[in-house]
Amino acid sequence: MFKIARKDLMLFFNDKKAVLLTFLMPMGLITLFVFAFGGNQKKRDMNEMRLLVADEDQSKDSKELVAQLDALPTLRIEQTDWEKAKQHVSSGERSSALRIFPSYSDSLQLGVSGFGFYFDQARQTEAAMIQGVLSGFLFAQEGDKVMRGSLGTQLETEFGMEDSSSREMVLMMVEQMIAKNSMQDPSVSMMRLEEVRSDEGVNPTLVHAVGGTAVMTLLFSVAAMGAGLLEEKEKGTLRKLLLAPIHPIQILFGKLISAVAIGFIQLWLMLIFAWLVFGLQILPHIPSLFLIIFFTALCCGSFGVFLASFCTTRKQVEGLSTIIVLVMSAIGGSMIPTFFMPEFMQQLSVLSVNYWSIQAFYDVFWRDAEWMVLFFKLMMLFSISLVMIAIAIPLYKRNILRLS
Amino acid sequence: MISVRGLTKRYGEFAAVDHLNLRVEKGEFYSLLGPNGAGKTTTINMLNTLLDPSEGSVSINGLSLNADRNSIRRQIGVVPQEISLYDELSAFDNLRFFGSLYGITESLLRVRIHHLLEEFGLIDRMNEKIKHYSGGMKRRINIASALLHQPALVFMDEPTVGIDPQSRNNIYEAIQRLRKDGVTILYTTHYMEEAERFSDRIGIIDHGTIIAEGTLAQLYTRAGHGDSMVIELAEINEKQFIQIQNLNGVVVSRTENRIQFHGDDLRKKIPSIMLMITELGLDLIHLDIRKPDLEAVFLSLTGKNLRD
Repeated sequence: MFKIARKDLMLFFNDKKAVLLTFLMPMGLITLFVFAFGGNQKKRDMNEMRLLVADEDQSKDSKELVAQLDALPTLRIEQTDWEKAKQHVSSGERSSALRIFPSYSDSLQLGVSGFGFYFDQARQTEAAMIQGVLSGFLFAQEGDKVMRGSLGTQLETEFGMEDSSSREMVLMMVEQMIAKNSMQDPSVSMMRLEEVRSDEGVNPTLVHAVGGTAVMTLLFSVAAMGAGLLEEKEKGTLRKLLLAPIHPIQILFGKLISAVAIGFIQLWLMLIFAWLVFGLQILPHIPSLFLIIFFTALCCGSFGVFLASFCTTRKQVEGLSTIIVLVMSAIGGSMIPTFFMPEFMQQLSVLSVNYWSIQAFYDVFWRDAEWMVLFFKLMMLFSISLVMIAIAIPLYKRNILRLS
Repeated sequence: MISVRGLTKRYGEFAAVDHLNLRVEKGEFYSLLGPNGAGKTTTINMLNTLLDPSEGSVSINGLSLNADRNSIRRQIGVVPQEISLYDELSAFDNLRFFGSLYGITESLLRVRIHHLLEEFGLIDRMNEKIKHYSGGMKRRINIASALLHQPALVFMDEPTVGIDPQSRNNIYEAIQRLRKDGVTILYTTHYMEEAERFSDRIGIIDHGTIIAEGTLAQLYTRAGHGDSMVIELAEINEKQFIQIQNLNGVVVSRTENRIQFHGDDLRKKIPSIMLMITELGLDLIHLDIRKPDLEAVFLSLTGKNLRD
């Protein structure tokens, strides 16, 4: 078994082109995905989305609002006039624009909305993200002013409190009561944001880009290695192996060991690359990463062996592997995070190697999860491996060992 | 060394090997001769443990095929018809890998590899990748890889197909050495001169069963003739050919305008054959009298050429 694995490793490392493709191409892909996901940015200035702002009020309040929006880490404000803003959104140059009406300052006093949000339907997702940021911010920052204005108007019109100093006194009392309640019960406050614990400087999109791409490229690599078993059959070397005093299953497991070994090296190289180039902090997590990489490589290797046993020609392996790897990567979150997907797709994602591996990477790099949480994911990867090997063995006996 | 009784391999209704009986003694060189599809490779694949027989019993060196396959595998070497080597590995690494599967220690394996490479004249190129070797050189390594564990019985399935004369001679020398060392060899080939040159005994196989077996001399006697004669005519029709066929004491076969004659004391019949040709007004282009050969034996036994 180990002799077959050693021979396969020798064959692999003797093929310089294969080595370059296996180790360098994933690094290129990681770079591409990291940039695509924005994982190359620092945590605090990541995901900066552009928002056009047309301040038609130009009052002290509106200018203050624009300045506060500009200070948000997730938004990059571009001020322009309303006509140009509309034009940019209509042409698709920008996803959305915030219009601050000329009556904004007065509307605060009246307790009504003083701005409008315009967006391009074709870029709905991006616009929805900006809207989410705006809603949270405006609710937290402007809510007090709106409420104050609204209550003041009601006191004047409905309760006949025309004296401004009396109105001010009532408003102060209401504010103090709210402040007191907020201290006793934080849920009463407008909005309180708390992040899951993460190491300073770790960017979750970097973790996603590296983890997702690494698993996807590994699946492609092992699929090619799986085809090696069929190549042995075609070339007649498998016949020679079967003539040796070893059990035929040892040939299959020899292939598995070499696939796992190459996968193990490939994943480590990708993580080291991400560490050196993008600053992914791997050093504090070596033992956990060792386990994740081992079980991911085992799972991907089992997938390769399954493919080789299922198919009867190399062409079949190539065709089937491309489809399966792309589907697994799509539903497993390698391409886009699973939370973007509909619920049924998210439920399907648990069937993929990618999902459990990416989640395990999140556990280590981002969530700082307990060992048991990580252990569960590793066991899921192990279970998928066992299932694939269990299916592969009878197929191997039927499809590969059959001589005529 | 090999004892086979009623060996049968069926694929559905078709019997590729049909109740074949065979006995090969220790140290014997036994050639299995037959046209394509006669059942040679299927027989060898069952004897070397790759295929399960549908029926029959096989014993190799006293070991039953069904009892302990790995013990049998340790005692046999198989040289397949196709070159089964790893192109991206050197000759040395190929041999080291195949040898290691038989549990030979690293130091002993190195000695044996060097020895075999020396014998096959490839020691100087042992570190070159196989993909840079010529077809003949690959065939030599292909044979060497089957001899690393020093098997007592070697199956050789057309080991000299499509190679240059230098490599062929090198392989012949290796075969002579194996014979000298007392190794039993079961050989299949299309080349009559190989079978005639090396064989102690020859088995002629057709339709999955051995139709004749013995030494070369025994086969010639059994086929009942010695020499053969081939004449080439400018033209001959069916009626004229039937008249020639009716000549007493000769076996006649025809391939277009070429007619082959076999029979006891053929040389004595030549005048009457020539008289018949003259009487029929046939135009003789070429005449060739041949010593007895296996091709003729096969033809007389089956009525068809060995290479059909």
